[in-house]
Amino acid sequence: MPKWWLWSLAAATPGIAVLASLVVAMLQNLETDAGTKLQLTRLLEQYADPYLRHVTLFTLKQAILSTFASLVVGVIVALSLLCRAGKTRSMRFLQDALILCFVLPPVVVVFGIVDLFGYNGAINKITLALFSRRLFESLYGLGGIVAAHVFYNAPLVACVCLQRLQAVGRAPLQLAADLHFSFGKTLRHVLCPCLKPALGSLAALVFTLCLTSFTVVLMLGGGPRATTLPVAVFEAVRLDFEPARAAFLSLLQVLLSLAAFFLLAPKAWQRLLPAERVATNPLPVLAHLAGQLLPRSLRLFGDLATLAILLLPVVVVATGIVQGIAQGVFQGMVLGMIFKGFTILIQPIFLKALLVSLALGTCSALVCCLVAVPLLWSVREGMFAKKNAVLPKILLALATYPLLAVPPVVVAAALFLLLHRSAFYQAFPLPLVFLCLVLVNGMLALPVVLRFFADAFFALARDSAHLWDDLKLSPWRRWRRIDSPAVAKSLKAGLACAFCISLGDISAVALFGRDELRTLPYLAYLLMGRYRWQEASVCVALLVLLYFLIFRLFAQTIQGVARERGQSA
Amino acid sequence: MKRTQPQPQPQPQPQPQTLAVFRPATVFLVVAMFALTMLTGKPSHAQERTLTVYTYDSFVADGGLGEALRPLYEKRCECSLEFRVFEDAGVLLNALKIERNQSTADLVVGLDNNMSAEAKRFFRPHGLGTDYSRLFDLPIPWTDSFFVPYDFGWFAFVYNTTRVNSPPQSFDELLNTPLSLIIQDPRTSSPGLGLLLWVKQIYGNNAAAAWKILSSKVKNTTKGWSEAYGLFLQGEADMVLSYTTSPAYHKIVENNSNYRSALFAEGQFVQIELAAIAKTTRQPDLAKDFLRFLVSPAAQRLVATRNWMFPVLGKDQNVPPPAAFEDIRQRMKNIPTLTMPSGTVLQNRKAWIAEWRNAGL
Repeated sequence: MPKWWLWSLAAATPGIAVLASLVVAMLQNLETDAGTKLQLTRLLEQYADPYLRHVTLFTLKQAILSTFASLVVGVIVALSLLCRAGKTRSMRFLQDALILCFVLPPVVVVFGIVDLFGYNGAINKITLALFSRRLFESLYGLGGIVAAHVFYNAPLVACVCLQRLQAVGRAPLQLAADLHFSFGKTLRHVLCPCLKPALGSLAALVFTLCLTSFTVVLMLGGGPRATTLPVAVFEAVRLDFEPARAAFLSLLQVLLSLAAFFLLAPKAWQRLLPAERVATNPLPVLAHLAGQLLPRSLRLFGDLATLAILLLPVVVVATGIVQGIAQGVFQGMVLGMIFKGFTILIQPIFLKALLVSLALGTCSALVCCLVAVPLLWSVREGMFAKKNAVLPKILLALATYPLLAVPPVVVAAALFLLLHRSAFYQAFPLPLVFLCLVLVNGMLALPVVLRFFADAFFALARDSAHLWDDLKLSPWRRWRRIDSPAVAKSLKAGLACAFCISLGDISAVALFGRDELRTLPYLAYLLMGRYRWQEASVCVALLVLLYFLIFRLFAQTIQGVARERGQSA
Repeated sequence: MKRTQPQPQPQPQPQPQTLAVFRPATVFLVVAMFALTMLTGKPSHAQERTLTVYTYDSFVADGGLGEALRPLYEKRCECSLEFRVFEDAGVLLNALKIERNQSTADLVVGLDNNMSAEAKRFFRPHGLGTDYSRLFDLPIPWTDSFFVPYDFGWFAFVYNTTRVNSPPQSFDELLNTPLSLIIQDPRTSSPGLGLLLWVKQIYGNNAAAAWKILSSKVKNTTKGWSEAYGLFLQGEADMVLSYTTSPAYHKIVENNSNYRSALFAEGQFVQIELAAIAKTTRQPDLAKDFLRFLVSPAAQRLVATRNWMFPVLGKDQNVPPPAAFEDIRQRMKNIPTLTMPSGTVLQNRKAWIAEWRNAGL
């Protein structure tokens, strides 16, 4: 029997290292500012600043609103999808598209929101032409932030709820239909009991995601009024360069999100462990019943929301193409020059960003999987070595949940504060920054990747654990012969997912802010900040196409895994 | 009970599948390696001298001053000019603070008179002598051994006459109008900092109260000038914090006289944009030569219609600004020019920023 706990300790190292650096950076910087030893009273004094209080309250406010809105929209979308479930093929397509929306980079979502609902967005243009007035005012501020969060999280909620509804079976729905329940009654007696367990943990997850959300607030928040803690940390480092303030804000953020997570989902870590296989019911039967029970207005709203969510990436691509051509026409006025707007695509700044993106995504994905595989493996070993062992679960939780609860910008800030004065950093800034980016972004994808792997790993163990023990294979041989073929599919899907997630996040990239290490989403953000909107649109459109491509390449594996295991958070 | 021997049954699936797992991984790895080598490999024109200039983005935008100066100067110095671009002057200053002695800058172009005291420690004396300051035609006298001015202007709120009929005539009126505004963050942008000082200059101890009213009208606070002005042109708000000279751009380039700048009876805050030689430079002589070039008539003639600011050389230096600029100077005759010693700014910046931040909640 291999020393499983050594393995898991080794695998948990990056997670623990990240946390340790966070703690060290905070202590170090809090101390240096005070000039004396760390004092609680001093910290509290700092908190008397009305701005800090406002930022904390705004962080909570937008997170609560976003969570509530995401859950409501997500459930309605799930219900309206259920009504349309008659056609299996289109249903599959819809489900896959929703999964894609969940992995899209936040930058893309923000561009999509602005393209759709912005002051000069598509919808305003239509209503301006038809009724000569605009439907939406400015997006900047709380409204825009919540809208973007809903677009980002509602697909996730919808996917999970749909699976729940599928699992509940036709009997309760049939009964409700036979008794001619109103929608209110159906909601109370059928839907609520069925969705409640899922909604609890979903709320915890979405709340944590909104609490730690960075890009959306950075791009759509307008000034001090609409700033959240992660953005305030970024500003303290990048704009004010006040390490002590950054450390204090980080501390606040960490406490807040950890508290939120453990309050909302006390047994959250259990969800990582293998779930019982649930029988799924054929959707078409449910569709018919749901159609009877759901009021038409709700269905219409659900359909519109689904349409908007699905249109988002399409609109981004379309805007990119239109903007590119428009610029070409504007500048060239000759048909041959029509592609001039796309010249950003051959400029070194763009090509470099593309290369950096690919390198960063790849390395992060590899690091993520290199951590995930031994971690899960050792946890499994531990669990089978001793029934109900607590230690492996704790290790697993330690390696993942802090990573989920602590926003990457805070981790990056900690690393930056630790490193930027060191001689090594002064001498070799680029490799070191790249390493940090890989570490931070790779860890970012870890919770999701673990979800992908966990089932495959544990299912195999459940079925045939005692057989392997008898084979007495060395760990390496066992991995080659037994585990790797069994988890190959999940591994591929996990790699693709990790690639998408770690490439999409700009917080660490923005915090280190090296010109040489710009990723595509960050470049798009910068171009937007410089008001080179057309080039930014082209850039984002290409990013979406890249995601489409990856998704197509790995589509079957991702869909397969997602469907098999009941895709969830 | 005797167990059956584990049969050496060759399993057909494992091998190819295992390989399949690593195929994308290997491809990715190759791509990653390739990318990394691209990153570390520097472009190989090491022979040619390169002058690295840190500046803000609108300076090097299409048709901007930077793009106009580059060919002129590269011909003159037989070197290449490389711009490193930041969203606005405040971001640039922060980058200098973070990079400290790691900075690759030879020159910094685009900090202003309000930041000069704070930024001084990153620069070395320009060594151009005092003769230069006699050539300048500036609204306030300028003698500084570190910073050389290359253009100036007054901050102003700009509006579109098709949307705003009766613009405010004073700052007090601005506080009482229902107009929506776009401003810039004083931490990241020089116009933003200018507005902060402008409000402080006019309202003194009541600045916090003034900010409270002003913030309720602010629709968006952007990091840099470019984004703010772009959003304004798209119609996101009624007025934008910019310069008295911004309407001249629309008049001269677009032949559109709908844009105006509002002048306030209390006075307009002045900005003098500066260039200086970085402490970290390895080629101080070349950098000094660039400064000399920047204040030469050849470069100054481009300032008005490229950077849309007033050139620092006056009429007697044969740098006549366009007619639209003369109009602004005429209108400014009756309006006081406001300014603040940069030492005062350095001392109070943090407190005033906190005031702005807390009032804006």
